[in-house]
Amino acid sequence: MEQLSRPWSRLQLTRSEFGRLAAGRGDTAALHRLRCAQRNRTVLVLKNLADRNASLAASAFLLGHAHDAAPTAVDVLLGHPWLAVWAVDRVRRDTVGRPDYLPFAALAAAALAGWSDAPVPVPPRAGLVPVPGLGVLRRSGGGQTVTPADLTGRRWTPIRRWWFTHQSLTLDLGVDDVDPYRDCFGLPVAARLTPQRAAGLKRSVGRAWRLLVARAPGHAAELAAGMSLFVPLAGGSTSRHSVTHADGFGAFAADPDLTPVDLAVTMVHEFQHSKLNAVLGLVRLCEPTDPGRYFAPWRPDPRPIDGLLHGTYAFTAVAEVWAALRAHPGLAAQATARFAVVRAQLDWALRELARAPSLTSAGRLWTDLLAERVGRLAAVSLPVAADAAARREVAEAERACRRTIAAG
Amino acid sequence: MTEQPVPDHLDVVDVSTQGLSRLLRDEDPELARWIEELVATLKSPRETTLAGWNSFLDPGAGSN
Repeated sequence: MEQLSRPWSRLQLTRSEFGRLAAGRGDTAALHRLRCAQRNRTVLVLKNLADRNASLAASAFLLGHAHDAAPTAVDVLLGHPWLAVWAVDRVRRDTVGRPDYLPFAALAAAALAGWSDAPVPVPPRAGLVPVPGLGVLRRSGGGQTVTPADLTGRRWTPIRRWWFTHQSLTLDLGVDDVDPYRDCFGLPVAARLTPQRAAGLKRSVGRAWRLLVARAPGHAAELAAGMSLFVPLAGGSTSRHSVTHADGFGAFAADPDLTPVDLAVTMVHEFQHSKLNAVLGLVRLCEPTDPGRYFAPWRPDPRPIDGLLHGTYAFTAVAEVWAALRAHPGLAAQATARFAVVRAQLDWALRELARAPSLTSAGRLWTDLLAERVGRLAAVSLPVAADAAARREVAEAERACRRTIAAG
Repeated sequence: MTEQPVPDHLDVVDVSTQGLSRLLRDEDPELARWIEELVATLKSPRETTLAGWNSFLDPGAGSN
């Protein structure tokens, strides 16, 4: 007999949440919705994987039982960026060339549920057992199971978790320099930071946080509500200093030696990508068939429409932070120069978005709200020389990019 | 008053209030159809092209 379906509700952004996210005023409710959407997608993908693979099903059910016992803690685990990245990758490719991550998530879930003596199956060849959000265990033998009680002693390396509070606003940030699955960004990641280096990074993040709370409190509030994990990148391998993964909401990777002010700007920048990625999982902002390439002023190469949307959203926030930092006595010169350039870049970016035929109604609405923000930034007074130099720099970049586009 | 919907909203089934263990046992064909659609979207050429990083990286992908 065919089973009858029951009604299912839809996960949607309200129009006001969408508007607040575009306007850079993503409050706690809107960010909660985005986190919820990311976790929702991960859970759906886990069900698909469990339905097709008995081994994964066993881990998924263990995770499910732990969720029954400790729903709040396991909800956080189900929103873990590396679990989402692995799940989406696994459903796309069937194999990811390394042990599946789900058994490790089941181990973390058992720990969160307080099942100290529960033997949790893990891949037998895994000498290094990551426990998402908690740490890694180095194993000497090839046992088939690990219990949460094993996650202690000299073979256990916990993830550092730091809390920074300024003016009653707290950033709760994990620093993941141990989980092998943190390498999803496509850049070399730093090995475990020494205590001395970790202390230096902690000081930098603390200073960055105080700067943001004091000078850009709206952006700080967003980070407090949604940013969860920082992965230090290895030094010297690249000039690109920060990155976000499309499926890893709330995580970013960056050079741990950034100055506090660069770290502040970077955190805001990268979190815009996380937010927009999550929005794009719920709302179509552009038609997928647009073959066009657009001038994105912060890049030498022409970009697809998605890239232009991402960049414009991220750099609008960056410009707002630099504009706010101009009032800081020690940062005024640097902030003024950076703000002038980014503001000039945004002028061009909005012109490019205006000519894009592939933006949907939602995409136009999103862009209009960005244009309002950029309009407010246009009213900020700058030294004439700084403004002119920035506009010349961006115009030259635009001509170079056009030549690239014309050359095909 | 009901809020206006966001235009161009994608249809995403909401399982956020379901317990995971119950969801894993659920055999509702409508839920199965939702999940198949999600998986098909994730496997689409566009999604796989844009997969991964998006910031300061690979000029060929959906970076900013």
